[in-house]
Amino acid sequence: MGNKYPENVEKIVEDYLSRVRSNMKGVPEIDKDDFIKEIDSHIYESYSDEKNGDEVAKILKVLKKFGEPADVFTKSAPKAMYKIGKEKNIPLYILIGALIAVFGLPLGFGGLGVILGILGVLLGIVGAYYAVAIGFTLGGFAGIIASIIHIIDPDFFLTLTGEADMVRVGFLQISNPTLEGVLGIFVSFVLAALGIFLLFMSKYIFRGLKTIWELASKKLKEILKRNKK
Amino acid sequence: MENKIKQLRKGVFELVILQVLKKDKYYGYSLIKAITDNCNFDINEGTIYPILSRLAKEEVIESQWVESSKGPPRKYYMITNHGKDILKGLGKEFKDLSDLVSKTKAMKKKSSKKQLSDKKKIYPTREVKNGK
Repeated sequence: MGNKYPENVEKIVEDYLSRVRSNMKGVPEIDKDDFIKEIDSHIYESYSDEKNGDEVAKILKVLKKFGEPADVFTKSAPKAMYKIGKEKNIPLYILIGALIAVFGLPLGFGGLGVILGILGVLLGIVGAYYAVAIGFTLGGFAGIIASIIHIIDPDFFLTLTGEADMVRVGFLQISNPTLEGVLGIFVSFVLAALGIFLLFMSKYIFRGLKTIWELASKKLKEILKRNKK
Repeated sequence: MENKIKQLRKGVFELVILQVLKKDKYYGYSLIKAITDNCNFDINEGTIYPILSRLAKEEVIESQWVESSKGPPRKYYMITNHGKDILKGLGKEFKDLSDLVSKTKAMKKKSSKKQLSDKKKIYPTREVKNGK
């Protein structure tokens, strides 16, 4: 910020900016810096335009026109920005922090690789997650059906599965098809429920990942644009 | 009430900002000056920045930091081609809305008796719905 104001004015401005900053909850650090820089520039321009009164009166008038620090960003902040703040997901914060640290470095083609990597990993995580969730759900239902067949017609079940011990509920060495079937249904039901639960949870988990995705793809666009020039 | 005014202003300000930026590029402070010089109500200058940031996110406007000979660098805003299209649509919409406001305002004065008879028509149907 330098010495563009008299000392006492400088102090008032610094205090004001720090209050604006502490009110920008949930805004990514990288954007906070940019906003503060912009507001600092605005206050300077406004202060230089102010002709009447002493320094302190001038800066107070400028800040009054600008508005209360609490009003500037909290309620009217762009939705995408304070969405992150709403989710109290600490591991996600750390991840975003790490990403911002990476994106904060000057990025050339190396940075492009890093971002493509991050996007790839995200896709991988999402893909694997759904594969597991859908697998559990389908496997569970298949298990329930198999177990029902096992109860109704044990012989047909054997011909159906043949030698495939994996499919048969083979870990139960009870020679009672009904009991085996009931246990099979129970295990399959738990599996299916777990799968459905994972599918249900995905919308909460991926809301956070979506933010990272947006952040990364925005940066990617910027890099591509810069490299074109 | 204050909240309603705020919301109304916010929407209109987007339109005003785009209209001003269509003429020339501005940095935050000069943009606020250009707007407030033309109007007689006071606004918190700071509220323009979240709006600018959102417009930039929507790629309606774009920004660029430019070194200033006096003082800190300035962040200039320019309207994009996409923004010009948006402005056309918003401008027309605003004109239609403002026509609607003045037309309905004129309508109220003309026929206060007729409105009363309209209300009577509405009530019986509601009671039928409730099974009375």
